[in-house]
Amino acid sequence: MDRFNSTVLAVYGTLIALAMGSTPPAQVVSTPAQAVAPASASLAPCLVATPDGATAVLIRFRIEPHWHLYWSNPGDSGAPPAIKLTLPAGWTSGVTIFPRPEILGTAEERNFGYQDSLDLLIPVFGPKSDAPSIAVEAKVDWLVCKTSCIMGRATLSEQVSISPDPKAPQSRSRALPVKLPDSVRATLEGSPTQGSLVLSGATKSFGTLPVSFIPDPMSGVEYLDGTGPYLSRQVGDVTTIRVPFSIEPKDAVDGPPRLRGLVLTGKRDVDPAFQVDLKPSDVPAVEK
Amino acid sequence: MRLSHTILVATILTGTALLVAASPRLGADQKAQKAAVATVGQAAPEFTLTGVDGKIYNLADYKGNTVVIEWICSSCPASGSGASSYWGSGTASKTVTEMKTADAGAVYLTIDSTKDGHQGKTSAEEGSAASAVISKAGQSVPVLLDPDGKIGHSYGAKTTPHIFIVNGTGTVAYIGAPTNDDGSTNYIVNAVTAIKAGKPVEPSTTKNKGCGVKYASK
Repeated sequence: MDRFNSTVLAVYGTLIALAMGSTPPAQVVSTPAQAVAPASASLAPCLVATPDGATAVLIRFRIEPHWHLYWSNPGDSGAPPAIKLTLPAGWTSGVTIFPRPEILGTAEERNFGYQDSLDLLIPVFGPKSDAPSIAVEAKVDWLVCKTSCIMGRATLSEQVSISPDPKAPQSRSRALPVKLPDSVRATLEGSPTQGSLVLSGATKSFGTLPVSFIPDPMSGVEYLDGTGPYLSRQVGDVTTIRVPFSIEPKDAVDGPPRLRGLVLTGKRDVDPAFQVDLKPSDVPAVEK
Repeated sequence: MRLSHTILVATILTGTALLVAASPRLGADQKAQKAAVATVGQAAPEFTLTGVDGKIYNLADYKGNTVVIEWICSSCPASGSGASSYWGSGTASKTVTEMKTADAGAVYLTIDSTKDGHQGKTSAEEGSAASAVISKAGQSVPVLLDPDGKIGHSYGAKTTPHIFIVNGTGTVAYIGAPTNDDGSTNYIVNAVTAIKAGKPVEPSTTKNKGCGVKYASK
């Protein structure tokens, strides 16, 4: 991982910790039928920084032992948390940023998700203002599973400050996805609608081993070797991941198909994860 | 010596030819391998299952009709449990009604592949509970029991709900979710309407979400 990314992650971790602060969560919602809900959500009282320097609303989930929530691609089953923000006039929100997920389940039923806790960031963009805070409402829905699943829902409201709180309990750290290092090359075998995405570079470019890829499929994009993870191969000093895919443009109901996913390095939640988000026609062909 | 040399050369040439021929088909072969489960454009796996109502259901009996098959579980909050589930929210009932409006001959079946013992219920008890969920929603839709999960595995059903639509010629025309995330697009009704009109189903695959099917161990 390059120094910039390391710094961004370090700053991010600090700001997350600060943002949750000593202030009690805005609202914790539980499933009424349960003494202790398997998961609950709270809204941080401060905005936080994203890895690319934007500011974001932070939703923190507490997850009871043995239960899990899901990544944006839940895998063979499950569903990711859905968040709908209501912001002051002039403010807009971006795509939810999910941290590096854990690989859960078995080869027969593979899932990508989170245990213990989860911090989700929703970038927000607003006009320059001297106001110290903004009113935020977050409608949050989630599916939390163990051997069976429970649906959770919360409406969280908070006057969210721009300034972080200096006192903070630490949350479980998870790496946020960062840009693929320039030294790792993405190329295409085959055509932009039927082929393999090849991610290759000097092994040291990836940092920590092992290296694998987990897809985050858009509609219309099918990854042909299943749910993943797609394991890397190391030949000499070069590490390569090959991800066969097929695209059906007529099935692309979420917009032009892109090849999306995460390159995971190492095994720990804090080990770097690199974002892959490519328009197939922009990926150069493999050199022969 | 010359003979073995010839054989060696022929073997190398044949092997090379096979490799060259196989290379461009890599994607197609991988798709074919996946066809061990239901695949859009391929024949739907046949099944004969007993319903909660005691009747026998053969897919082959519905030749000529469009068949919507939904994997169901009464205890899954995405499928049959709770007010926000597919059945509890009224979405499924509305889908069945609109499907019949689009094509009166279309058939809606549910399959319950939940194993014995999940949440303390036998497979039959789970199927009955699923049937009760459907009745509560005001519909009369058969629940077919697949306690050993063979049919679920043959289709590649992963979640509840997970939808498979088979056209009148027995070909899989759609696999995925019943609706989009906010419910504004009903993929089932759109697919049945397209099939009835003789048009291609678009989209023919979407990402399914929900609880994992609680299969018995293989």
